[in-house]
Amino acid sequence: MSDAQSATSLPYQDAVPGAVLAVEKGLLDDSLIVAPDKLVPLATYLRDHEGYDMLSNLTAVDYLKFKGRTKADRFEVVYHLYSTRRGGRPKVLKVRLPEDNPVAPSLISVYPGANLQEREAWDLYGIRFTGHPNLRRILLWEGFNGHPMRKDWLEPYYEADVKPFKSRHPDGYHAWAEDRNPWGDNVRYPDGFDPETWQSPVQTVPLPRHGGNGVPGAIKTERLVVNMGPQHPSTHGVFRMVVELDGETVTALEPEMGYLHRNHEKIGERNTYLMNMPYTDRLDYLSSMSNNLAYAIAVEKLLGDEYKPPERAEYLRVIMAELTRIVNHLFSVGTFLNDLGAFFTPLLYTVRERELILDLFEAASGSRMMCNYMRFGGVARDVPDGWLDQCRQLVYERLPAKIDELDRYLTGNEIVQQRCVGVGYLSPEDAIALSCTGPQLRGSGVPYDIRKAEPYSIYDRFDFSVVAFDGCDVYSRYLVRIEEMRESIKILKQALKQIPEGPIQGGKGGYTVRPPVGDVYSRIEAPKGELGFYLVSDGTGNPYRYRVRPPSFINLTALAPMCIGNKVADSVIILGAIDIVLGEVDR
Amino acid sequence: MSNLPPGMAEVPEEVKSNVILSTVDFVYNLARSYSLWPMTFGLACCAIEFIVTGTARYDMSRFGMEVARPSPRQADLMIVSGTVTKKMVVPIVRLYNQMAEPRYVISMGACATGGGPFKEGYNVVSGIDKFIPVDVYVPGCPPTPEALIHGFITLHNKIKKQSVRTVPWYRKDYVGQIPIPVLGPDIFSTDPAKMRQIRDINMQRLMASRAAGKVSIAELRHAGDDEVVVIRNTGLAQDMTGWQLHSGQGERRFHFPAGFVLMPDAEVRIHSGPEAEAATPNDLVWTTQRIWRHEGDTATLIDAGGAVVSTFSYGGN
Repeated sequence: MSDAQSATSLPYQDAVPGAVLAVEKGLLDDSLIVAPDKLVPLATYLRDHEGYDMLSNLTAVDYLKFKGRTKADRFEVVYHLYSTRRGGRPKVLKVRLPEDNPVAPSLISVYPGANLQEREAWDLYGIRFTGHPNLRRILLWEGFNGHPMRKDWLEPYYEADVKPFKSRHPDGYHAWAEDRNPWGDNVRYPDGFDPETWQSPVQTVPLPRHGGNGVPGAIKTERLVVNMGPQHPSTHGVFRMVVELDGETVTALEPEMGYLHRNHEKIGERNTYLMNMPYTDRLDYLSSMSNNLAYAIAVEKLLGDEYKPPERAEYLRVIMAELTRIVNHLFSVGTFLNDLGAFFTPLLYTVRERELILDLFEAASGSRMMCNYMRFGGVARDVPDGWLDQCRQLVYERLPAKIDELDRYLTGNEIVQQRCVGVGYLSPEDAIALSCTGPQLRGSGVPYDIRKAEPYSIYDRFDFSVVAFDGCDVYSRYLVRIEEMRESIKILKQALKQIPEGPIQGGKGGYTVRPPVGDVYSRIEAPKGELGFYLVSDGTGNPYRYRVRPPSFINLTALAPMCIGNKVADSVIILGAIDIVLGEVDR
Repeated sequence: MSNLPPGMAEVPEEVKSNVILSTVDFVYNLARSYSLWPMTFGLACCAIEFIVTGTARYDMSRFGMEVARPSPRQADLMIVSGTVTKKMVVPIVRLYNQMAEPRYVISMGACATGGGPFKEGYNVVSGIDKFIPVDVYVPGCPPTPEALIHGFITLHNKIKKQSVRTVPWYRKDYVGQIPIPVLGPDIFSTDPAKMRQIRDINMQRLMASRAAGKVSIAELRHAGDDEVVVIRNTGLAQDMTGWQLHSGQGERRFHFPAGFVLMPDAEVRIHSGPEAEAATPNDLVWTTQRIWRHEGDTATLIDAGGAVVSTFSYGGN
């Protein structure tokens, strides 16, 4: 793949000599193989001179069982850089690392948004990032045995590398995974482990501890560390914040997650491509159709033009994705008002409309929440008779009125304004540097929407505008959501007008697809931000690497900078305005 | 008479309008089953359906259940709504211990019941009932609000069959506290019997892997005029009295000193050549002559009975 090239023909030799070792041809984008020690200068150059201002995706791949790779380049850290001004395809950097001591330089100094993603790569792959200020485990706990995403790390219920498992039904009977495990449970200990002598390693959360307020003659106050979560009504699931307080003011904040880490990516590598589709429903479980769409598009990019969906399927996909956006924002606004203290009443209003859309989903796919509707090259089934009329009635009459009603009740509300305006400030520069996407980025005044920046599916046919408010606060993020629902209605009206009759499945269909060898990163504008899938194919029916770039996980990078200086009660609404869903944060 | 509710006894004529006779159980259970306060506690996807069950379309308050309490001390019902991970089961058990009796648990959805689609995940608990007792299981992924309401009604029926004479929490010997599991290299219960079982199995496995291990030549290298043969033991401790190391080209033999024991996971280095020296007790000096041919040679390890234990080829590759 990486041909021997003469040093002069390699890119960026003038800017950063010796940085690029080779150029690897990819299915969509060429990637640059970068020398580890030259990564930071090259990234700085790309950011400052070529406008690649956002590190969108950072992940690692273990090439242990990949054809043609050796122990000297077993690990690979992949970086996808985008330009928020130009849009378009990414600049892909790859750093190859040896087996015995995988160490890469941390990119935090160039892109602060690398913070949580590098911690995840350390946790799951054991790759160290020098210069990272807080390289702790993020999804698992300190003391966990090994780095689970490595190809030679086997889970307790391991049966075979890839599905379908032959061992599942020996002699036609189901064999329980528990029966093969000496403890009859989903656990595995190192040989000789004695629980009575086990001592948990001391977990240090790096909060700067101060004593007193430092002003001579003033009252000596002590800073207080408060744990919020994982069982806390305001944290939208099982999420924990360690907050250091001076009085009521937040002086430091550290997010702790992983309480819903259900091993999506490890399971995804064992699954075949199609088996992963229902799993994507459970990523961001409020907007399953968007997840389906993102994954279907990613695999279609791997498969090539043959799997291009027919027209009707494209329209159905867009209709579903935009309905999902409305569902998500309705729920998000409702729970956000919950966080503000308007307990449950606004949620009653928003959930009522959500239910009507879920009825449409149920009629089309058979399930309210976990739709599992998209397929590679189309959708699973056509919508039933009368579905489009019902949808039109909703889109043309009911939803616009209800969104206006919500707007009228909430937006001008004095309490909402008092609590939200100016809270959780995030400047546009910081938002980009911290890799924020979705309403959080547009609430900081950056009109960056992947539907416009890098149009996918048939979004280039519709007339809609990118919503951005430059208040840079919680209130702007709320306004973005309300306005985005109106833009979605606009898209839906056009799509419902133009949708043609015809087939709904292109390509060869069938259960097994075998994409060519290669890797692809594909992203869509999910309701919460940039939802990307990074897939590596080794030519078999199962993805070699299946990485989800979760928007709400990466948006959390900005949580601490936004909260510091605000009151502790405001940290709850700042978190609420990020709109996290833990199924996606922890995967 | 015939339209009296079940459990009601017949009332004498003179007190009919003043007194209602019933059983303690009936009144207890009536009150309990229709004021079940669930805990505000969501784990994953199922939690969304739990929230939706509380909204206008499904309206949980019809069952006296709309008072969701954020504090476990005030809650009667824990709805385990979603995938239980090893990291999360520790707080869940702690929350359960904090709830006051009588307390009930509904396992909502496939994940909480048995691991669901994520069962094979390394961080997933295959069913919350491995840690806390469950009253009602609700199937589905996620269960629809209707299914959850059916679970509530099933729980009501279960409560109505209870009797204060037999429920466990009024017994003298009732403890009701569940040992909180600990996150080690993997999760383990702090129940002493389980800990002993874990240790025993682990030691057995260690011994088994030791018994499968053996003494073998791991390396043959030279640094300047110091030639080194590294012999490593991956098995049990081995007395090497009478063992020999044989060089293929030069036909030379090295006899291990009597009483030399190679411990598990240890290695012994046998030096030869002009610069050979023994720095540690596990460095043995053969001779100050050169033994091994650098172009290609084979070392053979022979045990006290004369059987070949391990061979190692050197050079050329």
